[in-house]
Amino acid sequence: MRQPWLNPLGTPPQRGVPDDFSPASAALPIRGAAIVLAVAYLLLIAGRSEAILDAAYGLPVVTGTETLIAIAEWWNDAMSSLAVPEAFSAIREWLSLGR
Amino acid sequence: MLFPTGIFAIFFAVVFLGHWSLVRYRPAADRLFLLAANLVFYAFWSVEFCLALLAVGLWSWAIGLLAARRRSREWLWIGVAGALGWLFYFKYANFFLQEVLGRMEFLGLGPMPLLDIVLPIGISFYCFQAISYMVDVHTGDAEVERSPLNVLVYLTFFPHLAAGPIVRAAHFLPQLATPPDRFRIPVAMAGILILGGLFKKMLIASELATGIVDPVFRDPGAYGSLDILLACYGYTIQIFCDFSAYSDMAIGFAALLGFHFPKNFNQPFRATSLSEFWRRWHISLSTWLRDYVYIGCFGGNRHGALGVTSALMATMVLGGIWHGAAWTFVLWGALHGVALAVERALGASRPPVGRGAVLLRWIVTFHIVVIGFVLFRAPDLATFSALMMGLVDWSLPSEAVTWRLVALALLGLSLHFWPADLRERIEAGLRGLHPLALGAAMGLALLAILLAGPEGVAPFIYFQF
Repeated sequence: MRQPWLNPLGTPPQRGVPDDFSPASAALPIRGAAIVLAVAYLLLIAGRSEAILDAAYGLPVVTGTETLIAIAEWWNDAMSSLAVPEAFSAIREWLSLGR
Repeated sequence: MLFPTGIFAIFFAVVFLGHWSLVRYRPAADRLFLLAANLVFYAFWSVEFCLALLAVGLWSWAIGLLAARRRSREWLWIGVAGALGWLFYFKYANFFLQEVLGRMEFLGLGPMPLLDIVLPIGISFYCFQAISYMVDVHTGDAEVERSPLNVLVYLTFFPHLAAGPIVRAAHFLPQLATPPDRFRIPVAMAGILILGGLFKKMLIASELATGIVDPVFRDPGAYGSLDILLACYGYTIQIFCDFSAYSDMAIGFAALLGFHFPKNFNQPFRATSLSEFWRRWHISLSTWLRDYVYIGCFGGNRHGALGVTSALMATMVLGGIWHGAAWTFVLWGALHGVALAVERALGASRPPVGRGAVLLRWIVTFHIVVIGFVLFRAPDLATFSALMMGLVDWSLPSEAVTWRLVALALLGLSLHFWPADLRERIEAGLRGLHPLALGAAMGLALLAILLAGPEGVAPFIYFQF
């Protein structure tokens, strides 16, 4: 067992340690951490479906590139049917106010 | 490979799954896997320099073995000279040829040819860590590593490889010796650090850079005084938001893999003295310079007032030169050295008493830091002079200042006056969330930052050092 900056099991959490982590930092087991990352990644690829499609079109032509492009197109079509890219474009335009 | 890119997202997912799958049952295989991942990360910049990186690692490991044997000082000097020689060649060979040899006309030396040298990304950081390993092993602060693999993983570990923080051998190597606990991953704080870093980089640093700082520093004569004023303040905010963003993200990614890096920035612009500023800014470098240069080479506070002043000046000038081979960096280091020496002589490094004194000391400290960073950013002394002259020349209209840029600069400055434990408070708010909800919150925050920031990512400022 490592991670000495975290609170040892069975001891009360502390505050005020001059570090980003302290014995009070919340921790998750690997399964929970993997779920958190998986959901965050899923939302990321949902919101960036157009950028992913552009990146797929830019891939060098090797074995498997066509499959990747087909997956990217399918994913972008699925997101477009939910109007995700349009919604994100509108938000981006609003957030760029004054730029 | 930059942190805020799609390719890094894929890379990190593979490393996260591979590392946590291997570390439980096969720690040695995990270290090999981490080394391979580090080299892949670095190979996105240069495959050739991967070999150089490995060579520096093997050099440090071998010198560590030799220096530890009967505390051999000779081997330590050879080892440190080797690492510094490597750094010197890439960073200063051209400067030395042009500025020193090229000006020795009385020796019959004319203008010297420029060498075609490409600076490897992160060279200063891995060389400093190599020196840290060799010195710490020699002094007994770190255990000597019999396995080259551990030293290589330490030096090449991808979160800190390109731009720090500088992690000491004594801090990192014991973490490799014991496998991390897979039931205790600080996901929430790591996420806050990564997203906070992304926010600072994408929303504040990138926009200040492209909106005002880069154009004004490129051609100060074309801008009015208010534009120049905002560019000077803007760069000070930009460099903090850029560099601390990288450090925060590095600390967060390392934490997701079960490794701890020390804090590197602690609201530096709230400092009311230069000595306090250096306890809050780039802490891993300032403590490295303090321990290995100020105390290790110049004796620290042991040689009276004049000795301390000289040691301070020499340390800060060396710190400036470390950033690059240019007179602007030398003067930046000298400015801080003089300011620290004056502060020490006046007894001003003690905390001020009373609101008026605090405000006055903050204003003075902050503006010395701003002037220093203008020197730091200026490509040459002529540009610095033009910027200073432009500040008092009201003949040109100031058309580059926009309310958005002013608001971003103020936001970047205000980060220093938010509660010091804000991250802990946010983490406390996230504590009870189910992993699905925590992942959704982080994913939406990530998307919001990407939507609000400009398209594309500029390299981090400290990659060039």
